[in-house]
Amino acid sequence: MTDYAIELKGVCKSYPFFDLHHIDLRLQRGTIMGLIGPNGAGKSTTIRILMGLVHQDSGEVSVLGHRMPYDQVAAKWDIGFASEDMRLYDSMTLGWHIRFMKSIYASWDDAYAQLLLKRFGLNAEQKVKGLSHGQRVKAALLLVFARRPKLLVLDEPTTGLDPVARHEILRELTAVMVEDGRSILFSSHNTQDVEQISDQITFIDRGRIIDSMDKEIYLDRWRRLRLEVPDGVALPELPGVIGVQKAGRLAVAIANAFDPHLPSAYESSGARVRAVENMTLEEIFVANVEHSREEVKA
Amino acid sequence: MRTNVMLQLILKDWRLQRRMIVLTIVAGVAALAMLLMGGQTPVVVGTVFYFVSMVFCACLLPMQNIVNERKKQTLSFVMSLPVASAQYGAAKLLSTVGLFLIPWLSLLCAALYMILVRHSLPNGAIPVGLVIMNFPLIGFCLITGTALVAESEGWGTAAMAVVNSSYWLVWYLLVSHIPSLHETWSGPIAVWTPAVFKVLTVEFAIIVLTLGVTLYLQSRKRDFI
Amino acid sequence: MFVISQTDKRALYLQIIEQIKQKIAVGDWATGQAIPSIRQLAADIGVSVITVKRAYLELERQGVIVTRQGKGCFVASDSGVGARIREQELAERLEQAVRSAAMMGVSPKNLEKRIREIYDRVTDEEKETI
Repeated sequence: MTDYAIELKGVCKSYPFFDLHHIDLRLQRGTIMGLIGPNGAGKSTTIRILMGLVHQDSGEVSVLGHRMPYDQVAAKWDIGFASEDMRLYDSMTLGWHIRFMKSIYASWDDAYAQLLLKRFGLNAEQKVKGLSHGQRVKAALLLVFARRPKLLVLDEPTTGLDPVARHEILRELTAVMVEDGRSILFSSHNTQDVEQISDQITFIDRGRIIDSMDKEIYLDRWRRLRLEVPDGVALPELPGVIGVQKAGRLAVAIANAFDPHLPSAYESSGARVRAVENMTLEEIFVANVEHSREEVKA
Repeated sequence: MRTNVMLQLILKDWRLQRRMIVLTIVAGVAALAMLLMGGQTPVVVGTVFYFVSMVFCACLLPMQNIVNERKKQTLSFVMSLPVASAQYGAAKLLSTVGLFLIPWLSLLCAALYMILVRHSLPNGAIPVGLVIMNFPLIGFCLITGTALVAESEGWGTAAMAVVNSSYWLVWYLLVSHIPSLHETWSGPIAVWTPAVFKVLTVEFAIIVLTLGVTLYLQSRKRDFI
Repeated sequence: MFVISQTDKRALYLQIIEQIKQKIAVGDWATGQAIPSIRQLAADIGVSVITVKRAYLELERQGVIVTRQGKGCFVASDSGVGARIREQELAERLEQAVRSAAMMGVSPKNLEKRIREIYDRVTDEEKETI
């Protein structure tokens, strides 16, 4: 048994207008990974490859110890997958879908399914076509949760949901982790959700992984320094600082490898540090993507 | 376990498409009922509508059972189940063909009943009737094969258009080249000439070939989506 | 009951640390009492396990909680914990205030004067309310 629920090594995939370059990704068992990136970055493609729905051009994919896409049938017994573009059968009721899942998966927990129906405010007798968008998303997630799979792979599980529904889903996701050994990979635009529940964050942009690490360590490495730069003082280029914006005598420096000595390094050059601020994941997201795009251009 | 998943997929398709199957049978039987009225016009109208109800099913069933799964985005849901592309394709082919055979066989029996028991049509009509009944079956296989392999609504519709316009042409060609087909159809005895057997054999071969090629091409696919 | 806020300027793990300390300081979590496991608390609050882990590690380092191998986590059983927490809070706040003052270039004498002014004002207010 490997330590990793998901392992991608050097995965590449070419499309007419888009390429995935050398994707290396590891999800440790018993953790949640949030996959974030702009639209078209390659989140959905990466997820489809690890589900075995799309065959990679090169590289190795291993999910729960199974080689993908070759062993996808064996792997999918233990994977719960839901994606934003997935739909249930319009003309059938939610109850029919529940019975359908029960007929396939022995691990189906009916009591939990009934509990989720109540928690999510869903009616089993209702046909899927009569459900609102939010209810549809919750219904699809219910069908995944109630199987209690070892690995959940969710493509944008909270997109388009109202705040209450989002809260309900986040609650269920963190509740999954009480059981040791269960893992979750989810992709999202919503940096707040990722920041709150992920153990590990992976950044993807334009088909490349930019960053992948422990969330707490990652958030700790980023700082925004507000500086006062008197006339005649030139700000030094310091390691760990990826960008400085200057307007008049004020400047803002963004550091992605913050060092406690950084403020004093600025001070010794003549500038004054007015504030050292933590950054939200959304701010990091934007700064990171802009920075990495500049690097690729250079 | 694998066979159970395939079985559940087939049962699911039956559950989703059963309304259309029932409608087809009802329409076909209603058309046959017109034969009881006697007289030239009801017989012609009845047999035409009988044929049309089969053609209707032959077109719509592949579109609804195969193309819609992709169009309505339920394919991702199915693909999240423990099943691979090849198994999905096989289960889909089985369910679609199985579903079609229900009304086809039922209406065939209903027609035989009308001929042998109710004598609404002479027995001579049986051989040529069988040849004609295979048309929608062949058409269905072609549309199904195209829809499954090409994975697009456009190709499925194109197959439908080509198939539907070909029925009359094929019939015309058969009738002009094999006189024995229509010589005895109004007679009281079913005449099974070698020509009839040849035609039936060719029809059967086309069906088997179409389904075989479909299965082969489907199994060679790498990606689901 | 833990309520964390995404709009709070402080990191999540710091909010959790503070709320746990508050629970101990007011006595809701008694000294020596068993506290929820990391995974359980993470699920209760609705945050990542790693954040709670970080909070617990820091609390253990500060001597506020202890982990007993195989048995779980407990509030530190020494009775000075509540007072120590409050003392720590004061120390942190003083440090923050002094840092801000230093950054703005306030002199130590000026700082002392201002602290005395605030102290006098606050104690006067208290006397009035009594």
